[in-house]
Amino acid sequence: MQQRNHLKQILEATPKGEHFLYTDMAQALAGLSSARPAAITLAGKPLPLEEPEADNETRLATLDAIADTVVADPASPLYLDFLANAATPSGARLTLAAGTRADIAVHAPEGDDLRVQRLVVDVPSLASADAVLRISSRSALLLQLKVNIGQGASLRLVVLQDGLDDKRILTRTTVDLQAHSRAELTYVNLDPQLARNEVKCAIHGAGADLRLNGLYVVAADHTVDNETLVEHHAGHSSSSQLFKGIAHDNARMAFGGLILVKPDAQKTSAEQTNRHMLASTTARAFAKPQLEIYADDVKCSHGATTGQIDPAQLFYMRQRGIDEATARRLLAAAFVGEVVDTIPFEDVKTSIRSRLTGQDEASL
Amino acid sequence: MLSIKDLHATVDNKEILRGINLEVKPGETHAIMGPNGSGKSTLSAVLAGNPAYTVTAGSVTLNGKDLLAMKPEDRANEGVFLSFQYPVEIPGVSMANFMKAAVNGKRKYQGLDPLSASDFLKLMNEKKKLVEIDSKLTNRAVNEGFSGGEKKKNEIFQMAMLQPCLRILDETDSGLDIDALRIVANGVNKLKTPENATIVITHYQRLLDYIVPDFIHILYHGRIVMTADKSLALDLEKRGYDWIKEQFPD
Ligand SMILES: Nc1ncnc2c1ncn2[C@@H]1O[C@H](COP(=O)(O)OP(=O)(O)OP(=O)(O)O)[C@@H](O)[C@H]1O
Ligand SMILES: [Mg+2]
Repeated sequence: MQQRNHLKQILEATPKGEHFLYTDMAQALAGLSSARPAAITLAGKPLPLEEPEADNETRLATLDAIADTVVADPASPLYLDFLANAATPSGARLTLAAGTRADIAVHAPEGDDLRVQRLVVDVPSLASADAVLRISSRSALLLQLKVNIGQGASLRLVVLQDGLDDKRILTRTTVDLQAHSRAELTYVNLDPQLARNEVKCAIHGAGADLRLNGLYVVAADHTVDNETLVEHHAGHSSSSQLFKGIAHDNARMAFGGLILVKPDAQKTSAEQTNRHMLASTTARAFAKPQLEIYADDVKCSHGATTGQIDPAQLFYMRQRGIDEATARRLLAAAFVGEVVDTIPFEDVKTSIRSRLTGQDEASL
Repeated sequence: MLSIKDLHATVDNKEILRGINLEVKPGETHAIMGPNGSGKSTLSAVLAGNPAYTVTAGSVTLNGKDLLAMKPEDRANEGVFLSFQYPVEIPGVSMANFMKAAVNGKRKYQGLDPLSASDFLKLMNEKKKLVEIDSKLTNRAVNEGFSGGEKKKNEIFQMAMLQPCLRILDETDSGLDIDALRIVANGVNKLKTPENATIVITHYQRLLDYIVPDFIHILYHGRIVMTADKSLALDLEKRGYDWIKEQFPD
């Protein structure tokens, strides 16, 4: 029964259908039973947990019902380690006070279960906060993340997956931005077996600014899929998106992005860029950029390209004695470097760079 | 060291090299001159293993090994270095990362451990001095936004880092100002040993005043049509190529 609910929800929540079809989640999750996570600890101590809804629904809306709130402030930095396990239900609500950086980890351990982790992050009015969310999965993980950014508040968030054995990761994020707020969000997937990020951002007030970026590297016969929906409900707001991905071997990557500008959202500026690089002749890339605009005084643009590794660059590197695989890796890292550069946290940036180049950047 | 026999090569099914023969011994410097489009860069590309070119006949050995059977990176690690006529820009790859991969690529090929970070930096600094290249350049991405002359200087810097046994310099002088030409040529000379050999492709006598060749070959229509000593360059400077073209109509 539980399994059916989760799977049903995953498969049904396909806004507007079509461009959500790149990843066959039904196939990916077949054979899994679903289990509620998780033991949650804050600095080693277990957190109080709210019981989940009796009907076992996992809709995002129900997240607001989680009562217990953890407040993180600069004086007590937040290190959360969520171990999604089957024993305890899980969901947490975090309030990030001004000046906080929260480091949050969510793991789904080995097993045959679908682990579900729910997380609500509130950034109160006028607060500026940072968060790094590291996710990994040895089985299957659904992360539901709801982010509320208050008036004039700002959040910088990186959602990072960088383990080689990460299996079946689905993140589903909704972000609500109030007037004059700002969000810088970056989704990073490095070599997962299957990962899909669904990100829905809604701008509700004037003067809000959203930066939504993504970078992904995928190899073997694996899949990465990013689906974004950016809704402008209020005028004088701006959004930009930059998603860059590389597929090696027989891998697949997909980006689908819809910018929706509502009638009241005059003077909106919205842009979306998606660039894919195919590092082998058998890799595949799919892109579906979409604009839906119901206001007349707006500036909106989107662009999607798919390219290959430049043979002249590759030969130049090989002529210097760099083997082909390393040369390809360096060129691929350079291609997504533009997105790495936008990550606001030096430690995260450095670790991603060394992962991408296979070199220890710190030693240079 | 290098032995080229009856080398034929095509690009896009068009035959560019039409039977090249050349023997280069350790310690020697060979200049290759010839009109535009005669196949000089093609020869260097074929020796370096550029996959855009197809060898249709002939053989090339380097120190007795079949060069044509090797991958480009293996040729490089066996000691072939090509200073490109048009060095390639690689935005997003830092010079440091690039050189580190190259130096350690060669060490791996030789069965050596990678250089430590401090040894690598030491090597970089030593070689930077040799070609008087500014750290401002080596701190940037490979050739990105470098001026024409800066790119050529960077080629010689890389050559200094890698210490190849066969040095092929394809129009390294073009784009260099008078001072840079002297610095680069001095760098090439300082790096010369009795064990390595140099092939300089150039259009001008000027470079050969600094890098003095033992032989000058004229490549025309995909063949070496004349070999002489260094005085030939002076002759060409005065007379151009017409007299050669007349002797070797298609
Ligand atoms: N990729 C290519 N496709 C088609 N033709 C090519 C290609 N590369 C070289 N060629 C042709 O091969 C011929 C030889 O070119 P190459 O670059 O080797 O000449 P070069 O002797 O180096 O000339 P230059 O003195 O101008 O540098 C030229 O006619 C050139 O147009
Ligand atoms: Mg040429």
